[in-house]
Amino acid sequence: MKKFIAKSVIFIVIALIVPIIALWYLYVTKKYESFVNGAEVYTSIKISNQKSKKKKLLLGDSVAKQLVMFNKDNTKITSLACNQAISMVGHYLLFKNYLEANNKIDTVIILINPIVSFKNNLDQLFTFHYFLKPFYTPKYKSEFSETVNNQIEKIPYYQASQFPFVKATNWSPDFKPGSSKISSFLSPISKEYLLKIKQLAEQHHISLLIYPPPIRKSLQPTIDSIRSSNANIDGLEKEFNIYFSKIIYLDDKYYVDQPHFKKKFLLTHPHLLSEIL
Amino acid sequence: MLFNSLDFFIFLPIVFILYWFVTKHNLKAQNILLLVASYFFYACWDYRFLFLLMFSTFLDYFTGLKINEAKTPALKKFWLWLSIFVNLGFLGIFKYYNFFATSLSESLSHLGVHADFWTLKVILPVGISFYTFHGLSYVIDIYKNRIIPVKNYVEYSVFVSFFPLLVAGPIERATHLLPQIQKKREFNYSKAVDGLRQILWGLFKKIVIADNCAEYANKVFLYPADNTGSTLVLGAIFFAFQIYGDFSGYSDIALGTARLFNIDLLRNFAFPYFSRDIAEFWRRWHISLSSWFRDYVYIPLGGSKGGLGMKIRNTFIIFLLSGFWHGANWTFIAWGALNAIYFLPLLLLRANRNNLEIVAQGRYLPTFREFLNILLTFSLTTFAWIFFRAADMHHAFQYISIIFSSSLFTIPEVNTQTLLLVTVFILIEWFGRENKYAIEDIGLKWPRFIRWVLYYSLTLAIFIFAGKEQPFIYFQF
Repeated sequence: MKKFIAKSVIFIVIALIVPIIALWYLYVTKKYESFVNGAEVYTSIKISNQKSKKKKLLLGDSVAKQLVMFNKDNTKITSLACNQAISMVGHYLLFKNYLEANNKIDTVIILINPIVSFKNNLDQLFTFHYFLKPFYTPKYKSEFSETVNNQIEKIPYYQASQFPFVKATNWSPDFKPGSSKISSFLSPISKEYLLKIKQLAEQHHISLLIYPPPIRKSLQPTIDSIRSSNANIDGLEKEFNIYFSKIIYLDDKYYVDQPHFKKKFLLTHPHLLSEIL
Repeated sequence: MLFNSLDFFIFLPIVFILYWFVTKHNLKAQNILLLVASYFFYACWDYRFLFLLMFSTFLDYFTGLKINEAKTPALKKFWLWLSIFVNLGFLGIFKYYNFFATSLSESLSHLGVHADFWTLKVILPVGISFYTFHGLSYVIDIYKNRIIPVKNYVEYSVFVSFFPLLVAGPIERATHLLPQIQKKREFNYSKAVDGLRQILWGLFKKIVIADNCAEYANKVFLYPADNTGSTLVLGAIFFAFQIYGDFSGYSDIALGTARLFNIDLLRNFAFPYFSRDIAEFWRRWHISLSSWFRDYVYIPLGGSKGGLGMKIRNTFIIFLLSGFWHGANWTFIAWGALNAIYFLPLLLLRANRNNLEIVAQGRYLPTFREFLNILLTFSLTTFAWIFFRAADMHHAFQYISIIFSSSLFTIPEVNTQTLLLVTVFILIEWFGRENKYAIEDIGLKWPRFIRWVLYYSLTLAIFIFAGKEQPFIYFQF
């Protein structure tokens, strides 16, 4: 019995030490950034801190990222598009980073899905991976409004998001999304940070464009209903008028799920991004 | 409390230490500890249903004694049927009532009769199908004079509620488990080490194989119309490995945990995907349920002894019941019926007991014929899994119709990492197929250092390749 317990304890201690060393190494060298959930966010943060001569900046969700990946035209655009789960707060922080890296641009485009992405109120299943882990850091915390801080505090173990062994792994608390019902289209946090993006763009004499990706045909009634009930959004009337007027619908067969395109379709439509922009 | 949760990894060592250090000299204390631990384990799911479990336990204990005491066959029969009626009544209310109510309502509406039946808005008590079958087998065995009823209520309660098997089996028999509970257990070093090894393998199957396959399968099954036929085939294959990794992984953890307490549970899986025909598959898949149906339904109905009609009837009854046991949905019934159709030719040709031994025993590779038979059997079972996984019959037929379209001949969207993990898993299972579980004796003759490297590799793989946590599929049954 004693032999069994001793051996088990030794095994468990070593079993814990090995991953701890491995995780510490991944954390210190930042190698985790390339494989954890939300790896694309770290890539976008990295790009946002780099210098670029391109005059246009693209922010956006995973659909925008898909379109950039398969785009074959030389669009002369820097893309920071990654995922809607970073929320509009994340898009704002990427934009601010990019400007602080002394990049001079004339246009910032937010390419974003109308059904899923604007709803994000930092209340999603992946908020912990995509927002808290990369952005809940001393560098960015000062940019959070009271509403954002209040929302963050609703996420269990939010303080643990910066612990090395949390950050370097795919661990996240069992956070059940629930408050997305807060808005059927634009969440309070999305609206607040869209206005901040607009303000920042105006300060730097940059044009702000909010564009939709092509939407599947079967969602047209849903979009029409969203459009009619969100005709006037304070401070963003012009942007959203353009946004809704630019929506184009494609056959459902081109989509792999609600917002994303099939790879095969994107391979055969390498100019789609240029056509949208 | 999931087996793959932190809660369980705190709970298990506490029970283990109390069991072997505090109660080791006293059988009664050991059993009381196991019972309290098991009730606590169950209450972590939903304490309200603990009372249902306690009532079901008391009912079977009481009727078991009454059957034994009964002076006349009629009285024996009365107590037997009381137990069956109440047990199946609970199962029927919680698991099947809504299904019958809505099915009847739909059928009547087709005939132009509007009938809106009242439906229950309750969750299914976890493990009800398993502990109900434990209790039923006990009472039936007493009625058939195979066993005498146990007098000690705690011992009987541990038999029904022993926490490793409480929520998803294996479905135990009183003849196998009760004698172990009735005798004092001494610590057995090699059995405990073997138990830990089996737990490790079970965790690997669940966290690495099942959870990774689930991500792909869930995505594909969610929107079949958005995928090509070839991708749907791959989705069905990944689901086949998801359900195997999930349930056999759970069973390995249950068996391994029980061995830490020097208790052997019934084997539930024996490398079913290496079966050469469907009959062999059913001797190797969810063995405790298949043998339960065989012993308590199939054989009492006459088994395969009667004429052609009786053989066909009994085969269909047992497979349909097996499907229905899994859940109140036509998809499970279709899954059962499909397996009956697969099984029937073997039974009629008396070929259902052709492959009793382990495939390619003593050899590294199967013969070409064996390989083809394994492939065919796997294809048939995977096809049937489509019904099992589908949300409803329309979903299943939609999925199948896309598979059998021209897009079947396109290149599927592959998740390379999952494919690689499944390939490594199949190889380990193949080389360990002569054991009770794949890594039972892998490395036992190696130097300790190398053996531990193997165990650490599995542990690290669990950390590194852990898929997104999914609930155990069989908890819903």
